[in-house]
Amino acid sequence: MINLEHALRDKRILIVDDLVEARSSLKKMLTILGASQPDTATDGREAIEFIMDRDYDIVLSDYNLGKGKDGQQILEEARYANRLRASALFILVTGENALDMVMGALEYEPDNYITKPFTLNMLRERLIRIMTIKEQLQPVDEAIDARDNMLAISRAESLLGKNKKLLLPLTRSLGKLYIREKRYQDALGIYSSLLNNRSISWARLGQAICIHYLGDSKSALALIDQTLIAHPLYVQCYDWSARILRSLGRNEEAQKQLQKAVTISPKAVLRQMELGRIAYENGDFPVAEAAFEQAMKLGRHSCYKSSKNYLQFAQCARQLLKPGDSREQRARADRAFKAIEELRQDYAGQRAVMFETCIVEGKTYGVLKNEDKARASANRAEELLAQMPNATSEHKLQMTEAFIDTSQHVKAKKLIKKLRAEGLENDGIEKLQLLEDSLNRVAIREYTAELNDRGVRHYEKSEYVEAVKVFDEAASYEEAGISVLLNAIQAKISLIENTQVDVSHLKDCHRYFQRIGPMGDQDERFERYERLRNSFSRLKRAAGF
Amino acid sequence: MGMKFEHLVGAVIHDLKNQLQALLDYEQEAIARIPKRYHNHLLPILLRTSRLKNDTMQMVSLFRLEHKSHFPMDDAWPKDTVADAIEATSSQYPTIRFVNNIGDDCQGFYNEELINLALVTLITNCAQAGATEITLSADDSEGLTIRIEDNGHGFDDDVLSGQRETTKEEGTGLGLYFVQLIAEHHNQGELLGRVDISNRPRGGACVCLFLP
Repeated sequence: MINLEHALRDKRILIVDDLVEARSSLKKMLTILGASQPDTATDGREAIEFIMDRDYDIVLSDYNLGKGKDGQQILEEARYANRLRASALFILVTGENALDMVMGALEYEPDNYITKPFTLNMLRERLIRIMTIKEQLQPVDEAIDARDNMLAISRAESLLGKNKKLLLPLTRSLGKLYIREKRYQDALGIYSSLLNNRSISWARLGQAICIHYLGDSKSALALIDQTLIAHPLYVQCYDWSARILRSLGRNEEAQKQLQKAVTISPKAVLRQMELGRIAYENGDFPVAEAAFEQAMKLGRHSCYKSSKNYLQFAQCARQLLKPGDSREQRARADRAFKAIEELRQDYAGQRAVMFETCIVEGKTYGVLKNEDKARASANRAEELLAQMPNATSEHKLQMTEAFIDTSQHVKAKKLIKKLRAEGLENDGIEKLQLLEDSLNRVAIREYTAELNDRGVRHYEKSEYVEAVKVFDEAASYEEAGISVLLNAIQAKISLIENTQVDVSHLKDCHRYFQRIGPMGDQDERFERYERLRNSFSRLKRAAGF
Repeated sequence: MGMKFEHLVGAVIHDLKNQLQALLDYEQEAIARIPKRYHNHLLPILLRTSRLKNDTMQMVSLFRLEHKSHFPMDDAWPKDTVADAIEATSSQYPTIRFVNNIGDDCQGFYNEELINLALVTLITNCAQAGATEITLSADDSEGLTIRIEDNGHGFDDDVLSGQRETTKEEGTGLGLYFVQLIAEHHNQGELLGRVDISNRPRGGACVCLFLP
């Protein structure tokens, strides 16, 4: 066993606790045990700042830190940002109740736990134990820190042969190293041999992960389900279950699993982002919106802060927006514009992000029927796109859509032509086809609108023959709306009334009425429709039908 | 109200436990500040509070065992677990001498929270049987056996033969049964956890907790 006083003397230590008494008591205890000048942080944000700024050998963090991040998240962020060496110690201080929840994580597992309440003696004994084991594992951890996986594996293997007491921590390290090196069969082997006489949740999850990578995803899922029966709060099981389900194309089930994980542990940013992405793909925008909102909020002061969360959040809000002025809609629009505003402030220098910001802003204005602002956003996006030498075809597709949405058809057509010339992936070709179709539909609608205008002008000058000709052409497109059809009918009736009964015109009128179908008396065109129907019936009778 | 009865009970017990822990802290603080000659007035209060807290902890654990809660098992060191149990009980029994004979390297695989509770329960049993010395030892050559021996009056014959569960007139008398439940929670496949009781040749009780 190590000499604690000696071992603690030159260690750089960080204590994290939100309660002042707990913090100073832990600091006092550690000082008595030999630590010199431990740093203290009061919340996750401050802790991360310290960790980013200094190298620590030991972090002792309370699990429950009140409102912000919890201890587990500090650990995840620190490891994610590569700010905590494998050879450094992260010790989580927990109340008894939290232990079940935090124990068993396969990735980002704390080195150990201390359960509250504890006395000085208990802390001493615990630290001696933890640091003695850590010292034995040091050759492996140092190789991991040097990013030499091969060396780490060979050291761990040889240590495992020599020291049976280190079976658990070595299996954990070795399993992860094997998986990193894609040696799934080896990883499966050590997890399975451990599980032969030890029931351990992380080993069972590790087994499932290997089985999945080895190609038997269904068995992997069954194994995870089984693990969850014994250990229902083991959130990583839900994460992996979702990942595997997704690889099988079972996206809706994957979303459900992630929703469960988020209910158990709502503070993990990466999990919220994953949930948001899956829900968005599944078209479940309310869930996606909530997930991205959480991801934005949780990620704001963390290394996970990402423009993607803001963009995707604004996109969800846009999907959920409906024109109209209810309080809910206004609040939703406000939130979307707030996210857009934050993007403008925080990512001003990044053209691609600013481009996507303009696109989503334009779309939002589009749904709110604010056409001027929608067009202004689209044009800003256009300027940005021109300055992006590495613009992807996805960017150009987005731009095309924005042009179509804001009735800039010539620009849209030009971009489509360019995209075709550049060549696209399968997925892109499909999107391009959709855009082209919608552009055609818009063009036809515009053309029929123009024909309709011309017809009206002829009609007003009592040029019924010309009016009928033009309206017939407008009505020949299946996109022609009810107003165009009513105009065509009216022109024909006027023509008959002013000249003579023409059976073919009457037949056309009949067909147009059929296309219009029945009309409710609430419709603003109902009066006109009724009047024309009566004239039509009268003319039919006059013609002897 | 959509709240389930058991959740309500769980929440109440949980608060009870926290209140008792706070009370214990206050009492210990008070004892530390008050002159020694008055301690004999405070010690019985501390003793009872401590017992109440242990009972509540038992209740919480029974409740969770009954509901098949997850008690994760991990590498653990009997020397440390026993030291913690002694630390938690010794202030209530200042006249008892504790001997922790367990080696530094002795290793087990168990849920520390549960085994700590089992040990506290067993130590309380010893104290109530009039022990003045309690010796704890362990062997990890095949599974883990923690042995707790005392110099009290030992078990009555009908308890040893399994006809009766308890020898006690005070307390719930179900301490051993509780320890048995905890041992069984540590089954590993075919191997079952168990509690063996016997009397020592020269008097006193001996309890062996076997965890595979």
